Amino acid sequence: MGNNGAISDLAVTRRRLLGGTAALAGMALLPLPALAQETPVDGGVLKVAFSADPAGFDPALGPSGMSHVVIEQIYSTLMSLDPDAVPYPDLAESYEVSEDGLTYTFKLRDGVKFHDGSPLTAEDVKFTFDRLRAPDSGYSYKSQVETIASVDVVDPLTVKFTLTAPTGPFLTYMAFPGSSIVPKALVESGHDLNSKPIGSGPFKFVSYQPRSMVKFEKNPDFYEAGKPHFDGMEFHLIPDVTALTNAVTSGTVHFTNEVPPKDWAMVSTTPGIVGQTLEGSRYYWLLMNNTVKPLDDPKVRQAIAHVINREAIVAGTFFGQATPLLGGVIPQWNWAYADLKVFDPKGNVEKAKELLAEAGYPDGFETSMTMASSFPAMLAMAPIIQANLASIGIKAQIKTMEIPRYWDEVWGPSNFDLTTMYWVSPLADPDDFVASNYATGTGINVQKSSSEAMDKILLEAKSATTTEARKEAYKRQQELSLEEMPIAPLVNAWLLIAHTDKLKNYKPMRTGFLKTLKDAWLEG
Amino acid sequence: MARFLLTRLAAFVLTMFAASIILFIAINVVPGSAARSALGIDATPQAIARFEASRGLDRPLVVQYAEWLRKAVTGDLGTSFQNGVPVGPELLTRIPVTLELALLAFLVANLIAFPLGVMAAARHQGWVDRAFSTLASLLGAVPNFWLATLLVMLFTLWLRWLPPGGYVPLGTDPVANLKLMIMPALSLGLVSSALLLRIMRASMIEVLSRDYIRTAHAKGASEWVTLRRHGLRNATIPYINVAAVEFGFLFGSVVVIEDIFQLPGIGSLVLVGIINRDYPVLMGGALVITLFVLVTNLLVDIAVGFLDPRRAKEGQA
Amino acid sequence: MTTGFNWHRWRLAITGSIIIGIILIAAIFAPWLAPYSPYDLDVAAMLQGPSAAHWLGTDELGRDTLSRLIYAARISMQVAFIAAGVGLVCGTLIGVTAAYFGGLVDLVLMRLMELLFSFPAILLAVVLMASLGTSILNAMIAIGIVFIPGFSRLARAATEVVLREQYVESARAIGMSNTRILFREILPNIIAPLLVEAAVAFSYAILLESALSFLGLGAQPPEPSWGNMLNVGRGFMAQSLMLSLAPGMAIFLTVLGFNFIGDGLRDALDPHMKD
Repeated sequence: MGNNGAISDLAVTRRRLLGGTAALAGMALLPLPALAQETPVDGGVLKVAFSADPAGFDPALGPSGMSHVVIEQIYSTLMSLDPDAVPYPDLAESYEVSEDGLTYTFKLRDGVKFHDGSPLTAEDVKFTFDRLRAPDSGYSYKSQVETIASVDVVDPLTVKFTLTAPTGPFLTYMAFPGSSIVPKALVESGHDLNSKPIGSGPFKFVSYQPRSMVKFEKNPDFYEAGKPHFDGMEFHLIPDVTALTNAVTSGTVHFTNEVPPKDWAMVSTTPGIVGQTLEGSRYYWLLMNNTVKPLDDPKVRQAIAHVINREAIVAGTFFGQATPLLGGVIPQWNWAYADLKVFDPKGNVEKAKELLAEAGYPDGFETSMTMASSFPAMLAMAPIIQANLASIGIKAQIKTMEIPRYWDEVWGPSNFDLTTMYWVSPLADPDDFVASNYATGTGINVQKSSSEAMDKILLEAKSATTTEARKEAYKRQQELSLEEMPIAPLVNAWLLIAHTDKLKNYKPMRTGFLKTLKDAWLEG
Repeated sequence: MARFLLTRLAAFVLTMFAASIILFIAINVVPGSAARSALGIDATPQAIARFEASRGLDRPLVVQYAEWLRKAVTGDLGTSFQNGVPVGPELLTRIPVTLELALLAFLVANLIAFPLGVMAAARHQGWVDRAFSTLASLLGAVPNFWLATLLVMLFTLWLRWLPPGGYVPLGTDPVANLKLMIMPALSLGLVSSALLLRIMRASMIEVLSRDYIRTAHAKGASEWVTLRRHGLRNATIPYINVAAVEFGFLFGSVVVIEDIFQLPGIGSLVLVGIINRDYPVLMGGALVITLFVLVTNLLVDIAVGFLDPRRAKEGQA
Repeated sequence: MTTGFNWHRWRLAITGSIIIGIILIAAIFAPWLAPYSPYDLDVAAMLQGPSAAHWLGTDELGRDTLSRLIYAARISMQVAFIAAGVGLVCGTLIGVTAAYFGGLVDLVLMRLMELLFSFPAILLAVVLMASLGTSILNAMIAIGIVFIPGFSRLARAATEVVLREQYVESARAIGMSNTRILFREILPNIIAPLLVEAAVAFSYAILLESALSFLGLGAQPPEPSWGNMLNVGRGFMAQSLMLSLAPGMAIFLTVLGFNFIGDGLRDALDPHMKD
């Protein structure tokens, strides 16, 4: 439940993770207690339930979310993230980073084959990244590859990346599903990866029936001997949240990580089902339009952030399955966690009133809160926040709009006073938690906040060359974020995973991804 | 008769055409872009612009419709904005589901309405009549999606006899298929039966009160023979007309019922299309449903025309 | 020999009117009748069953179900009346115009009505709501549009009957203006069947509005509507039965009430009906 054990402090820097020690080092960091050594059972088809449809299977095109969940099973990446979101060499056998942080050299595993039988070489790696960086690539995550100056083939199994600036999260970017290595020869001959993906991952793509199922079969030539253990997988696409829960409890599917909080108590206590909660990186925040009076005053924003009763939100919206964010947004399990406790879990009316008075609004003011009505969590949160605000005199009228009109009419043009949203970080690098939300001009910064100091510290934190330096910078960044308060962090909703007790050796990942399925097996 | 058939067919084609225009206008005037829905929260403005340009969403409506029509008549209904999958083939795989649901519901409705309606009429103003009429009144007032919820409560939650939703093709596993179809068909059929029951009853009462029936009675024919030979056939025509309209209504209601029971039919596709602003999907789905309704009406018109040639002549006006 | 009002003949209509009357009173006097505000939430008290404090229990945010039910009556009644009104007025206008002027006007108008009629009601309402945007006002308009063809057909048929009567000819002969004929001769004589249809429309409007809200296209949360309460209730079936029973019951009774009024009016006004 919750945070599984202490998170080891990372004295071991990533630069030192080399060669075969990588796997061991990764295991040592696992917070879960050592499992009794059970013998893996091969066979069976794992059935997993998801609520969303994927939107294409080409790593360069597929948006994050469900597309990436499929992509990570089919393709391989140079690095991968372990359950605690620490990168380890995957397709790469080992790597070296230069002292100045500008050159990364990866040594690839020998004998890796794509699903069509062709060998994976450094040429494919170069091709993959050149393709992503191309001006017309359509890649939505260009910011990850923008510091790459060039990718060079040293020999068939060695590839060198030269960067324009030190990039702290670089290894994490190499673990991003978008960075999956694609087969150069196939793509150049016109093969459409978006509908028929061919990779080197543990599972081969079999078929996709829209709004119904994605089917996989085992890759018998997978480079990790003996894995995966399943003969195949089926991803059942069940958009209705209640139906999804039913599918799990009735045994129609073996696994889901999308149990709705409202059903958690029931699902996790169903006989034959194992429930696991894990704090990941799905956090909710309250956005205040920084360009609208009086929300343009940091003191007003601070007042709002202080009055919110995060405990009530955890209880009422998430049925207890969330962590209130009492300081910065970087979660406790992450190495950059700064343990800043600034907010009172129940909200602090007096402090908020003081701040408001200092800002010149002792009697509050009128404003509005626009919620995306298609997200039940937002709707459940709205009355709580409204009541909190009312207690300091801020009368917030609740307006609702359904997705996707919300995107176009509220979110895109920043046509709101207050609104809420959630962010799922697929990378779990601290930069990914904060950069998009706090930096000037990013797509998600719809609160229109802009602070030179913030941009500066974000850049500094991202490009520092040691983990210690980055951690210190992120501490300062979070402190700054609480002073400027462009947005008010609310809660971090837990991953709610439920699976049959016949599924063994499954380790949930903080990122919410499912790479570790290749290590699991079904008994009986 | 040929003239009758031709006018009916022509009207059908014209109506389909006009319906497609109306649907196209309604759908494309929709605010809320499909782009962000498909691309996600971190979509950059450039990505959105590229999405819209590549699908021609920035051109005038008339041009877009012409393009759509040109492709549609060749069978190409476009591809889904969400996942790029062609709409036409997906519709084809979903049609059997909706058809099965509608037919089963219709069967349920008729199995109840026909006999009960006849019985109520035969025992007009007796307690049987009053009981059945009251039943019809009550059933007809129940929202079908509420009935669906109640059925799930009873058969899934409490009795644990039936699964709460999902679909298995009839060919793959008929037993599982029917188990999954029972509650959806009942939800739709029970409520539909109410109206049909009343129509059957009213129609039979009207026919039974006619003079030639009394004459037959007076001549000594047994009650059931009279009913069968004279009453039923004449009462059936208005019944068929209303039943046809009801069948059409069923097709509209599948939108809600398929959603509740997770049936991968056209109705749930329409809903998905609306929620995601997936225009090609919505257009295709709505059009197919309308097509079914119009085809049903056409067939019934023709059938009635054959059964009652006077109607055929009237219909030509 | 009966003197005075014939209760027996009107019994169905009266029963229906009583039911609807109660619901109307609840809707109009909601602020006074509802024990709590429909928006007051109390997270600690969520998903409770019926109790002395909450006669129908609480919902997923601890709000009083009974109060939300009463306020939802407002929305349903509003939508029903306005939608039926829109359908009645526009439909009658179109139908009477078509019948009165005949010829090309009749042809065009009635073909248009037939076209609208060929769309299944729910589909049309759903597409219109997606088009207009989800709000209660748009629900009224969308449902109203769904009703127009039905009313226009009825109005046209009834007007044709009236037109064959002598007094319209006489009125025209003595030079009465068209509008006066419309209001003095035609309308009063077609009102009866239109009112019956209106009662049916009310009940259908209730069903359509709750279906739209159930699908998430009608009244948006946190506004209470019987439809969206049912939708939420469905997700919490294991935790609270009342959340699914209460709003459904409310819809059922209202529809029943309007159906009784409609049937009752039809029976009472029907010259063939035997007492």
